Amino acid sequence: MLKPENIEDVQDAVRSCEKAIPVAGLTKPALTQVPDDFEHISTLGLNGVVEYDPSEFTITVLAGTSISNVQEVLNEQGQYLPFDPPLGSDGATIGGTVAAGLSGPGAYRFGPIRDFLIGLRYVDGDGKSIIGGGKVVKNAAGFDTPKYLIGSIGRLGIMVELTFKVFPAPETRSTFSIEVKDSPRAIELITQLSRSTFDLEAIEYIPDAQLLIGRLAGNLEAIEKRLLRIDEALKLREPLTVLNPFEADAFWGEHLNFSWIESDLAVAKYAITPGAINKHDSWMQIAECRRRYSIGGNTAWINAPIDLLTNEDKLQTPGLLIRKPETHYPVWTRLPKSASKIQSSLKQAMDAPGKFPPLYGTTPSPPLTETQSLT
Amino acid sequence: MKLIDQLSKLYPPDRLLVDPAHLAAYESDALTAFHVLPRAIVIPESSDEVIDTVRFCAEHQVPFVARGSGTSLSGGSLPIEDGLVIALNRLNRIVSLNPDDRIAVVEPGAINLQISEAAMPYGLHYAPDPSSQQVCTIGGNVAFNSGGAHCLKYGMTSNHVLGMKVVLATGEIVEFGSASRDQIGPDETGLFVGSEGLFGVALEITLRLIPRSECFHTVLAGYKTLEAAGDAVSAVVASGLLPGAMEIMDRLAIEAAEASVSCGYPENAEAVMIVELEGPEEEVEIDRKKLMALIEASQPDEMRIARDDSERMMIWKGRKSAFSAVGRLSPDFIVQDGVVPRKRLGEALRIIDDMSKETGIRVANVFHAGDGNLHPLILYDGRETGALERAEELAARILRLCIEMGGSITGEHGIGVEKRDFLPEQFTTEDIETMKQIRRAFDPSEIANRGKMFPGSDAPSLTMHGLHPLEEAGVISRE
Repeated sequence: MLKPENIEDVQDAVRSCEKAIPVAGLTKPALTQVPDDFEHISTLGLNGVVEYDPSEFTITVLAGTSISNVQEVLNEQGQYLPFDPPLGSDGATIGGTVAAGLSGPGAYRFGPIRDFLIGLRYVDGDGKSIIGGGKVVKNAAGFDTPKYLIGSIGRLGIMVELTFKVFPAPETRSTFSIEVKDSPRAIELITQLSRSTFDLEAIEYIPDAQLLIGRLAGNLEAIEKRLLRIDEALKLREPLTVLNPFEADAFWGEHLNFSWIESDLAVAKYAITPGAINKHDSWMQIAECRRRYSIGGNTAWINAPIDLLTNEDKLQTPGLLIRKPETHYPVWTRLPKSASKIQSSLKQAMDAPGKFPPLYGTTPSPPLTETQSLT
Repeated sequence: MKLIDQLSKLYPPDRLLVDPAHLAAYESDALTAFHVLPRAIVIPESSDEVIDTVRFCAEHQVPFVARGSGTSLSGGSLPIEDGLVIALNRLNRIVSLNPDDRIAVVEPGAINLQISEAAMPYGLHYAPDPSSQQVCTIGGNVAFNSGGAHCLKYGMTSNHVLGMKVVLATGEIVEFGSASRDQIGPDETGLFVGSEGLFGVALEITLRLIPRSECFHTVLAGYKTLEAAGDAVSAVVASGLLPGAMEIMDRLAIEAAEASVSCGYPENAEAVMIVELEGPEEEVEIDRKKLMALIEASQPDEMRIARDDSERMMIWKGRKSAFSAVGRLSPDFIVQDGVVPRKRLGEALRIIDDMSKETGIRVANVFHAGDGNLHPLILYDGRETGALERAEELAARILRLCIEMGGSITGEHGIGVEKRDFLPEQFTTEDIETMKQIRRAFDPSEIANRGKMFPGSDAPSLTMHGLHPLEEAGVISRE
């Protein structure tokens, strides 16, 4: 394991090995399960805020900075990361989050990572330090390589510095739940809410608890009136319960940290539309998969035996595995359809020496164990 | 003429234009300083025809430019000499619109505003609203990652494109993204948007629609000085409000807009600021009180609040017409598109004003105050000897100012032809080399919009009069 302390170190580290993969907080262990001949390069030494000017609505941070650190810095100035990154209290880093492409429930309101990442510096397969995008919220110069690195899971380069657009934080939030008897009813409500002007911040569906969870953000004075209006407008047959702050914190805490999963089983993220939920939820219920639907029914988190997740007859859309048992499986549950010539050409363009693992590669080795880990 | 013979197997005569009189209609785009005649123009009526054309070009190594309404302000849709123009205006359908999923699938020639018009009955709209939206096409918006007045809060075109079907310059057909608002895997859609036509041609584009806000609070304020307007914006930003839009126009721009559309902006104002809040009623009710207090504290000479939708439209009318309105002040003009950190806007405008006085070239300013994106409109008379060159020099100085201040040479118009030579001032040689490699992954023969975006080619550009000063200094050189 190499532990660079700054960007030049990362460049040296990359040049010093034949094969490498960046690792950080290990909160998504499946992503770094690669053959032993890949040198692990930890980004945890790249830690800290590089530039932050609240009046510009932008912040630049080093990739190994923890999500919780970034959030604290922003919070102090009354700002926040609207894409609501998960796994913060488990030690997820900002770089790892972007590499995995993970956005949280709050991404429902203003969009996922791609709506907020405006620039980045990364180290490529040749050890060169390359910039894409910029540091201002409006920028159309050059190709938008930062977007291409979102979800590239360390296979195209090592992100070292990232610049985000940030927003003023809402004065307050309020979370409510609606009991829903089944997924068709949940989808009906999701659709209604998503087409409305209520401007919700989050809509999550928890089938095991038969609950739809909504969250509002805004002015303290306005929130209660808005909740009343929503309740009236929906004409619900079911109870709508407003969670008290303690209950809300507890829910979002365990939701964002995946405390609800069974850690012996695999976990995969799928990008879906609400319609897919109706199609699949009932058989998943029967198969007793733990699952949650996030970002207004656009993201599915499924926790199930690996065989079920990779069963092509069942789930036709590809998923990204963030946890998997110590066996030899690829990081995708199936190959995305765009795994075509252009994908390999782009991999070649960004990582000419093939320093980092292939994006759609095959057999990994067992994950880093506690004893191998980072401190 | 062998090329034309072969093309005539793909297109009937009325959709394969070769007569110079017809070609002339496409010889320019909104960067009117430049004219290039292509070899021919083809007008496909289906995706299949577009695919066949691109494959034809790939096979015969013919450079091509895919073109929508030709509203590019950076020469992005300028033809290539000896190349083909693929005019996409007949591929203008909204293929489907799903209000429950809040998406629309459209062809590249579909007009931007028509998407929102189609979505309106469902209480939805397509957010990116460049001022040319009555005319510009989604394909063009995709190529240049077009912006508009609502980018700070709502993002640019890229953020509202969920997926697309594309024919790459190699002829390969690929599908990027999906109808989902989330993604897994690298964001290919995001890489393609803003690639300035250098990768291929989008055939079908899946757009994200969002609910139209239920409540707007739109304010127009007139100020004695540009600085006062800028300070007002800073105060709004510091307050924690997130307006949907914040725009400023200076005196010259106001004059032009007034002459053009009689928008009735405050007379004698040195600057007007438009701020718009939007959202649920209960929130706007509170936010607008904060906003009004801030604006009053900024001591405007005059302040107007839109009481209804038509008054709101009136406030916006002047701003939306500003670019074309400037045509009344001057026979020719260059529209610049730089970005500076928002808090340095005032400083940048003062420097631009100094440059304008020094050179005697009038500059009207319109800008997205919320995100630091400036649009200096540099006025000149093309009939005057050397006027274009002097205007270009001033434009170049303004772009360099933006880079010096840590901004960008383009906020939303893209590099195109106009700013190619400035790309090395914003990015290193290695950054640019990586971009070239990425380009070649999509287009190894460089036939898609050849000569655009990257410096050092033969096609016309802004500084094509002698050596670039950095070249003279030996800092950069052409390849």
